Amino acid sequence: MSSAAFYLISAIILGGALAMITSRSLVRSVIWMVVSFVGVGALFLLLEAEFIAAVQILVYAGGIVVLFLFVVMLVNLDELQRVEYLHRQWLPAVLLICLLLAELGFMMWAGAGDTVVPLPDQDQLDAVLRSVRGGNVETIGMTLYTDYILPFEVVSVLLLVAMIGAIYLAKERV
Amino acid sequence: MNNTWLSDYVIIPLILILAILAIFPLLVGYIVYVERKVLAFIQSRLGPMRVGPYGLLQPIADALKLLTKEDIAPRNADVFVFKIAPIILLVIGFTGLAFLPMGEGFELFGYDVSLSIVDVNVGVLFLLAIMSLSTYSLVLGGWASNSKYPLLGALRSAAQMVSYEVALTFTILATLLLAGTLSMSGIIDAQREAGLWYIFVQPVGFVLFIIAMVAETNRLPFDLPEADTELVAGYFTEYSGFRWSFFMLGEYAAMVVMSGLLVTLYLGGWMRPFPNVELLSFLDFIPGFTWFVLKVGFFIYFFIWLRGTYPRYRYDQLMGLGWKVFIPVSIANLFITALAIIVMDSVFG
Amino acid sequence: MPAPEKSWAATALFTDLITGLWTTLRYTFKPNVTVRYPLERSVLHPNFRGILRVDDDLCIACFLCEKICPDNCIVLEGEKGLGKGSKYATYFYLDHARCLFCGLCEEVCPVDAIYHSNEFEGAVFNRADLVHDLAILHKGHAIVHYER
Repeated sequence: MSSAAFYLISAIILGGALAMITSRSLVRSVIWMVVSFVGVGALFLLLEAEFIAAVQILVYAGGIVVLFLFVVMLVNLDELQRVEYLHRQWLPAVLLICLLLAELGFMMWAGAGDTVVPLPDQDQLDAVLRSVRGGNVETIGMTLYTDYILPFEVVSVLLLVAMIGAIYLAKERV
Repeated sequence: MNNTWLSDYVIIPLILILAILAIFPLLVGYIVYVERKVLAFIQSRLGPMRVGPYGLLQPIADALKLLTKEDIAPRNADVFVFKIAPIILLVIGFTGLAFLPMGEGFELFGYDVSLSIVDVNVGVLFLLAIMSLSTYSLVLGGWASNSKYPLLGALRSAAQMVSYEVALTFTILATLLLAGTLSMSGIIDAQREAGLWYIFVQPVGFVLFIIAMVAETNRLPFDLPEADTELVAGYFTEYSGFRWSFFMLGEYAAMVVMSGLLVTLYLGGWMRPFPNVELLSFLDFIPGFTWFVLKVGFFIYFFIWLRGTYPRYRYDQLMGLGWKVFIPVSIANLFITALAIIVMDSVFG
Repeated sequence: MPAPEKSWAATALFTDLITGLWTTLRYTFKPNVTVRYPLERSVLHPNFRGILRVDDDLCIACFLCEKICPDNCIVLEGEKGLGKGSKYATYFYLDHARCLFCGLCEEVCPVDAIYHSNEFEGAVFNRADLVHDLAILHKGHAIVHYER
């Protein structure tokens, strides 16, 4: 059941991503990107990580891509559609893809004999979830604010710097 | 994978989903009818009276008219995007309905029927996530029409919804701090345990939520994306027939979802008034679903009432209000709530 | 007129917004003023200036109405009475397509022969039908009540 769902969702994600990069219209690319992002959210949901799934949709699909859409809508589409697709980059692109596929294939081949670690069954998962009150929201919260407080704060400062920089750049023209 | 799994996760939700899909369009028709009636009464008119007694069959006549209209796409439109945009809004609106806890569970033919179709432990967050996607429908619909008024409406809707989402989220966060959970039914349970609705703890949050809710659903006095008097009909100017009705359905679904969220967060969801007062326990025979419908119905009426009362805001006023008033006030509200919780915890243990 | 000063407390408590809501709520329950015309007809004021009628027994063909009419919609001819005592109108045409229902003819008439009736349903399919001759002006035109 869940593996069937996994393959279905993966097909949606990959299909969305493929349609995104092959679509000639930028706006359609953005739509396919949203499809892909929502698919990733569904994948998180399948892993019983509801919080991350919701945040994935809220932040990526609902927030960031809207801004993409804004930019795409306001640039001159006709000009962009005339630009050659793989502009002198197809050779490195193909090489890199071959390298990636080879790497993945090697991993699969090398790991073929390994014993598969069984996924924890439902009862075990429930027990883990029950041990932390409120499910994975609280787990993530506790982890972020205790063990990983320094990286968390560094990322916050980074975002703040980016924001101030953006405001500064926009302010110049006023 | 036994029988209860199948009934709990597949059959009963499926029945509920089909019920909502079947009932809701009709319900929206009658919300529109009530809207026209109430607006008429506010203006000392009668409203629809011709089709059926007191115009009661008007929604059906409207629906038939919409369904028989031609499905037009403008010549220079991006037809694919143009056609899917209303569908996105409709799907999002209906998905949002699934998250509302509409009543206490009950037993039917030996099966536990839960009236909240999806009760995940991050329900509020999911609802917000789903609702945030509705911007796409408006923006894409407005852009794909390839016409100036829809594009202006689309830009306004995106800016407005993104701005007010911030205030809305901060407001909700304060309530979530009180409840200590992100689950919709968990919030109701928390209010039952606390013995009072959160409107009495979070009056500022309640008012902020109402205003942000009106802005999020693009209703008057914040209906700038539509703004009939200046933008014809905003993002759905070029739509006709059933695609237009999809936009309307989506808008009313969003109204119902936001009202439902408001009721869940601040008014105890499907619980009767004053759930801890023994004196009122004679009201217990009324099923929770009734209370839910009454409360949501009141806020639908409130939407209409606002529409009949206030003129539309100017665009810069709307943005100024959102960024300079609502966001600071909602953040202050969040801080004060958090502080109060810490103080209460440390004083009373 | 400058907007009246508002205290910050009034702003924070939305007093003006709530006043607005209260006003609309009161109006919601006030009686409606709509008259559902084909099903019910409003009560007309006695001074209502409806379709013109002429009582040709009274008319003395003095031409005052024809002269005062700002739209020149009245055309009449009269002759000395044969047993009637005074002049009387031999023909009298009134074009309601031109009439602006100002009431001057009614006012100027020395014998109150021309007067506004309380009828307002004068719609016809043919423009020529709007020109009323003496017979129609006397007994009133055939009123088609709009039903449904």
